[in-house]
Amino acid sequence: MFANPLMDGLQFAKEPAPFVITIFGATGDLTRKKLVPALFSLFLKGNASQFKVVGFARRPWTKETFQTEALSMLSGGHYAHIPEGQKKAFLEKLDYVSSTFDDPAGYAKLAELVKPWEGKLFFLSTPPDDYPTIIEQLGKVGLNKTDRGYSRVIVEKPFGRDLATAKELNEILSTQFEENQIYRIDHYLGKETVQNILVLRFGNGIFEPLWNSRYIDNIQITVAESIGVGTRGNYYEKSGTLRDMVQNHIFQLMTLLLMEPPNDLNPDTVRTEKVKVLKSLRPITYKDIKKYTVRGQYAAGVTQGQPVRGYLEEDGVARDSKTETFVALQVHVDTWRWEGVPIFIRTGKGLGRKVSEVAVTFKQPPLQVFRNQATEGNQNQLILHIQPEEGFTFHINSKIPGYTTQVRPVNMNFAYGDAFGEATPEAYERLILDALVGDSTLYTRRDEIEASWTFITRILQGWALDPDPLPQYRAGSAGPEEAKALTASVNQKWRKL
Amino acid sequence: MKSYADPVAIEQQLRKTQQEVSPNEARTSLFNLVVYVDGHDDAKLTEALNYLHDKRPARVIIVRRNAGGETRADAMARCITDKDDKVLCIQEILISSGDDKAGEAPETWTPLLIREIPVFVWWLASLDNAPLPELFDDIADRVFIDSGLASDPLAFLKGLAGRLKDLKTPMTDFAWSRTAPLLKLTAHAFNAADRRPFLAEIASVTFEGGKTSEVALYFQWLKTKLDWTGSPVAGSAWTLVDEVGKPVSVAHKAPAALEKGFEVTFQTRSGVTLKLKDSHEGFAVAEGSGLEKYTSVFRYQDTGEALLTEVDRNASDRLFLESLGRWS
Repeated sequence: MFANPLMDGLQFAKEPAPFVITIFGATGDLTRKKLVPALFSLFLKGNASQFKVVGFARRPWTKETFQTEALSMLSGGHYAHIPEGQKKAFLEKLDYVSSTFDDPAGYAKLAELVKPWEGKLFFLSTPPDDYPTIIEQLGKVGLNKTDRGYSRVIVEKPFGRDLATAKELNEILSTQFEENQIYRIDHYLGKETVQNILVLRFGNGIFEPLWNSRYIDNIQITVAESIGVGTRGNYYEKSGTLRDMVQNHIFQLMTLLLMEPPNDLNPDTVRTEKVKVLKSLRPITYKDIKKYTVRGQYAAGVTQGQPVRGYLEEDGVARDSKTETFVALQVHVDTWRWEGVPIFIRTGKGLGRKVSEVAVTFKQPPLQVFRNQATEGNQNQLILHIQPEEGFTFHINSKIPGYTTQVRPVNMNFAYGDAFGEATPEAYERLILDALVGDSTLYTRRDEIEASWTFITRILQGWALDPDPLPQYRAGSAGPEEAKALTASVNQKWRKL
Repeated sequence: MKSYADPVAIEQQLRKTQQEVSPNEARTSLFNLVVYVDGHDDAKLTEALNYLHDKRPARVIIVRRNAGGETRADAMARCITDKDDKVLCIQEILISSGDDKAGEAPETWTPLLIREIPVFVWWLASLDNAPLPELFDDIADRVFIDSGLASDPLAFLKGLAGRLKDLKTPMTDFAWSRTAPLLKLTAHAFNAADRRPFLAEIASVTFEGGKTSEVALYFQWLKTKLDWTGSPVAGSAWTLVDEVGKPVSVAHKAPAALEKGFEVTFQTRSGVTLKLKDSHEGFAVAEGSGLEKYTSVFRYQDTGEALLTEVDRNASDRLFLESLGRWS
């Protein structure tokens, strides 16, 4: 076939071909808060022009109801300044199918609606229990395949409860869809700062030579929430912090931090390197459960100036619940690069501050030539701030002005918000656009999911055998006292929240 | 000693104005933009700065040439508060270059640049005999021009092409930026597998609409990519030679601003005609004898958008350099 030399060197924005996106569970919160706003934003920015959005849910809405509801999703705040004509043009692209998820008639109607479109994307924004039915029904009406264009499915978390259920879900998906049609979403990967980890590591010459056990002492990953479970007690009881945060979001962060440089940015090249990290995690077995893991539950306290009930008093929570609202882990990655470098993970609800960050602590210089230099707290640290302020801080040592050579740490700060005037795109915008153009780099592959569940399931099994009560921590504190032992084992401390 | 633009006073004035406009914490300027304009004809500049206003904080130094009287400077800040309650400002310093032309000398404004951030010089004044880009070699990271502002764009582009290998400062031509959507449209229009063979048998290309510089750059791009030889010459029709030695005639008709519309007609030696045209409704169409119609979203980039693209980019457009480099 003739090549097209005219394409060479042109910069093409991500512009998906004409597509239809079907949102299963279109009446839910995710559609209201994230999906419709994300699609509207893509429309406004010109990344999506020829498309249709089909809502599919049980509620007896009509196309017009869906459009009215969508308009309410796009009202107030910054939407107030957007011309009504643009909203109207977007709303005209919305359609709705009212059906239960197991009713073949609903899928027949859906098939008719989406038939003219070459690109078909299905977004499963429903409870996971509905996934098998939806997948099966899509297969029955042939929407899992297409002669031209594509058919893809985006699956929301939670992706399984453990290794067995994750495998089962993968099996169900694979009965109707090929792996390259399946997009397992983790919205954390849609965040700019998370993507920037790759740029920081591999787009700069200065960091990568130091990014190994020779220069790095330890790494701390903190994802702390100040609020409690609120109205999500029911959901949280089935999940817990390890499943809700560590298996997905934190492991995604961790793999990007620890992976080897990919040869290119092909989705599978990047994901293969990430899987290698997960497969190199040293298993935490039952006998080590107390040594490397700490869990806890928040008790009544004060966060952000507001009194907070203890977890066991929250609505929808069993009074004798053993569901953890806090997890701290010490993990090790058994690779040449990371041998001997502990990775500390801390995440939970009802903590003193909402903050997400990674702290990379470098080793001390081999010889302390400055005798007056304090031996504590002076290790160089690179902090990657993810929330609420995105940016970096680098702690370096500097001389205190005066006649003697006294040294103390100072900060070099960089805030993304100060460097780039524009608001960063919402995670869902980026991720949906990627799925539309077939870029799965920021989506989780089957072996990635199964490798992370392999590690997490061992911990869950270890905890299930642990008869001890869960340590409690005051809401608004930094977590249970027991967590301090993890970092103290290598003469380190958790960073202040 | 005489000072045309006292840096200390200017900085104080900027701080004061910014504080008056909004006392909130301001976002750091991302780049310096020095703009040379002639007299008061700067509608393009106003349009571009209005577009940048809520997107990139920057320091903009406007050098107004031939302003008459004494060279003088004034400063102001245009600020907007973003959703995080931080302030985005465009700090504007206006240097009116007097009869002594002192304001045009880089030495007058270089002390006003913010250090450690990029410096872009945008030459929005007449290009005839402009000292470009050599005057800014030690100062600017990139120089922006618009070859459409030259009185003889072909001669200007030819001159620039001839000096390309000696240029130390990367350049951007907004005339080239304006053609970017058209290049993409053309590339896509020929991208279907059954159309690609036509690229090897093009006998003529006729471009209706667009200005000389835009059309010349468009033809240069085709020439470079399709391995044609020959040079643009004065006049509106040239004959080039394709890679197998067959003639390709290119012609420019009905010159006008590109955004007013265009029609590009390709004819192949086997008699196939393919026309690309702007629908004026936000999309463009490629259609021709016996060919399936191709439709694509199409919008022109205005000066503000082009400027934003360029200040975000940290290098020259490779295609532009390649196309210009094959001028002769």
